[in-house]
Amino acid sequence: MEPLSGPGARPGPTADETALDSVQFGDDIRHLISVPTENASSFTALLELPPNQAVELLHHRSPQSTRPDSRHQQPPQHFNAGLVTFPTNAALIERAAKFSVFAAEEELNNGSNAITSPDANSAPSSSSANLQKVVKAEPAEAASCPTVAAKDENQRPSSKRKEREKKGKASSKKSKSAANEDSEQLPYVHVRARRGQATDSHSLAERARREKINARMKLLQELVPGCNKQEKLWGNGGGGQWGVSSFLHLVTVFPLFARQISGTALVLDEIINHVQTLQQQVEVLSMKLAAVNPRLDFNLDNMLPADSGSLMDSNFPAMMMPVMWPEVQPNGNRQQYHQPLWNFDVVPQPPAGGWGREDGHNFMTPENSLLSYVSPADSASLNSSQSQLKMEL
Amino acid sequence: MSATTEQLERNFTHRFLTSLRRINSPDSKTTTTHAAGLVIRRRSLRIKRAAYSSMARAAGSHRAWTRALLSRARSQRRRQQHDVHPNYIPPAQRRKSSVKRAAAAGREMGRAGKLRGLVPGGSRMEMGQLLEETAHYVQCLAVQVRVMQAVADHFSSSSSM
Repeated sequence: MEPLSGPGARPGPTADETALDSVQFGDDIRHLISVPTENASSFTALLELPPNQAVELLHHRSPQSTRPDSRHQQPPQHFNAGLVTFPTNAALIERAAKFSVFAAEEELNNGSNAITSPDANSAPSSSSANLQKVVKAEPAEAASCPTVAAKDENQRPSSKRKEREKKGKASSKKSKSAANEDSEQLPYVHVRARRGQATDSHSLAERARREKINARMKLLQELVPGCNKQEKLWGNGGGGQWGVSSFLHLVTVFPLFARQISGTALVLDEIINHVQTLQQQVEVLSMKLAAVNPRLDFNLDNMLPADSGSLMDSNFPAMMMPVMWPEVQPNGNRQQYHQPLWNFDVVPQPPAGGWGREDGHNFMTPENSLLSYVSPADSASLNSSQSQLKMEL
Repeated sequence: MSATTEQLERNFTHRFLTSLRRINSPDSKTTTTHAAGLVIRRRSLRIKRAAYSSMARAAGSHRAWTRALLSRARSQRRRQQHDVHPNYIPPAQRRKSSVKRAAAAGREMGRAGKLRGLVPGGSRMEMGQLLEETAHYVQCLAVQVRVMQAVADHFSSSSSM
């Protein structure tokens, strides 16, 4: 339609940019496309080959930016509307692979730029919807690591789709880490996997899983205090740490990678220790609360995050009551008892004094039992009982 | 402290104090026949359980450990209510399954097994999920400890007045 402008201004995919003027593809595509013109039924064909097509489009768009060629104006119209079952996926992928050799990174970047604009405007909306769906997966990866798209298209479409259908997080992580590896190497990437690692889906899945686990471990390390000093071997990325078998067989790997594993083992130990500590603290505090407790009206609906401050504030009216209690109590010698016991001594008085709560009566019974226990006893025996409780716990 | 932590803290505090109120005031369950030390102990157990339950509810049920904790609490409560007799022996299947699970967690030797034992519901999760749940569990435990400490300090300090 209109002549091609620079890389920035891209009209919709129906327009020119379908890179039929690319070096290798042009003749093939034109031939293919001329056959089904405006064939709406080939949407299904579109659906069958999303990855392929995305790949094609990726590389079709990019050279457009660099080689504006208005040779093939009319067939590009039909490119999206009537798309085509490509004769051989494998053949085209090879071509695309070869093409990627020439497509340096900037072209892929341009391709990714180009992809975003077609999302806005495209005449056959359904085809563009398909394209968007497929193509969006690409820019997510292409944006982060341009070499990844080249790597991905080298795989078979089925496996690529399968891997993408796995948790996308895993695949993006996998590709990112692979790209990090690849970026050290030459720009045109045919590498299918990391160096020295297998490419079958099992090991890829395992690798993804391992990396997920390592990422979580790092998060945990930040949470648990005292883990940061163990910086031993996290720098490896954890790739070599785990055995081939599943993560659960940590033990079997211990002797082999003793030095490396010790970092993770220590971290796990720290985590376990921390959790145990916290649980013990909960236990102690619950006992403390049980000993201290039955006094006040817990009217603390408006709680602020600063607990200690707000507890004081909102409880102020209720606190008037306990202040009165020590004055009420008859026995001055009670004061020699252990501090929490005050509450037990004091409590029976206000219900008798008309506290106003309907459950004031019931307060008497448990506290009376305590009182009856307390009065003949010494503070020493009570201390012993508390220490006994501690031992039980 | 992030916003979610504050919200969690507020939620937990509210629930915890409500349950404390419920525990301390009209207990029809506290019998007077037991010695005072035992009363403290039973109350502390109840408070501990209430703390965990209110934390699990405050944290939300989209977490596996909260669901496991709440279901454990529910089954415990049901068991308590149904069998009055202290020497009640739970039915064989229940014991077997729990023992099997504990054994499975213990059989997986080393730290992972221990961690599964600590985190509620940990024996059912796989490793990645276990680590994630542990992280969240640690956060919530820290909040719980902080709140309980504040409450205990407040009550013990105001009693000294």
